[in-house]
Amino acid sequence: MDRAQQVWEALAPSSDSCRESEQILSKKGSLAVVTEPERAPGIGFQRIADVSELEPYGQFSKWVDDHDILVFRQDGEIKALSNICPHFGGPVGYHQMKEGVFTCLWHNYRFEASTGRCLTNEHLCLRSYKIKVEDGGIWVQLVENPGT
Amino acid sequence: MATLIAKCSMEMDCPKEVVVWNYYDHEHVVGTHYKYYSEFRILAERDDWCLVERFYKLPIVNLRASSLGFMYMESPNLIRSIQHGKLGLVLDQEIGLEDLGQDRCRVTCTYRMELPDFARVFQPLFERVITRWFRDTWVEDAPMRVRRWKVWKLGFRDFRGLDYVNQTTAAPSGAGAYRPHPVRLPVPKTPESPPGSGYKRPFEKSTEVGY
Repeated sequence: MDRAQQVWEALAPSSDSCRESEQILSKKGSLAVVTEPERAPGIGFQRIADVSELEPYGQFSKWVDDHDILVFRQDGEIKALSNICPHFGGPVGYHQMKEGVFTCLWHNYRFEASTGRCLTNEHLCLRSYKIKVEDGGIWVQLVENPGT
Repeated sequence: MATLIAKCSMEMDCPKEVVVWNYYDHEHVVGTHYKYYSEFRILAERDDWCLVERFYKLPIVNLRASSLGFMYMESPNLIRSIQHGKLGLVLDQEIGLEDLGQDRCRVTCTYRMELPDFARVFQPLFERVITRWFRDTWVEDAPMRVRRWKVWKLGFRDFRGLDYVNQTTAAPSGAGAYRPHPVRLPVPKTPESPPGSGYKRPFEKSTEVGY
């Protein structure tokens, strides 16, 4: 095992942790995207922006409490991913999404917008946030497991 | 011989250890600085020294250039980088780091180039190009360092991210409080980019939405 591999083994999350995330993602269906304007936002959701803030790029990122959230429109749906690259913490949504892929500014790590999966390093993935769109606002659930 | 000199100094809202991390994080050169650098190769690195090759475009004179650079830490407060250009020119850069409290530091870069005596007339141009280069790259590095410091204080772990974000739980108490940033060199690479490999920018132009 060479040195780079040793460093990687010491630092990288086990592939299981990414798989767990994937299972969680798949349980939620196509990410945590909920666009149900007929329902009031549920408990734990907070309004983070107006839908109009998606213009002109079709995306924006915003720090809310201790979360940096990347909100974007894809195939007519509004979705939200963590904007914090799990590599070194760079801004995933600095560049405008191209062909369904975000490229982190710092080290060009690429992420599939539809799943949050990292295309550069299969061990990494981005959290998707549950969101709701209502009254022209975008609501995000920052904490899903408040008791843990 | 004439020595051309340029000196630039700025303050930064992060500790000097984050600045050291930034200087040794070679992979960011074709990411954060993609408009200036087209390619970067790490030829060798160990602990606090590295031998690297860069391909870039100089401002003002608008020249594409490349250089071979050797960088090391003379002390915890001083990084030294010696860059050898293809035309035989050698640029000696000293990066002085000074703590200004827990969350702030001053970075002072001194650039020197030894040239034949007649080249003394190039001092104003040298100063202009270097100062512009320092300013342009500073503008791109500053938000990177500040963001790195912010996520680090929130509990960020390299190649993992923030646990409370990934686990969808509440942020732990104390998230955002001071947390020492270690200087671990060389900066870890992923298996996809081991030492000796090169990095090329994926694109020259982009629609930038911003931080």
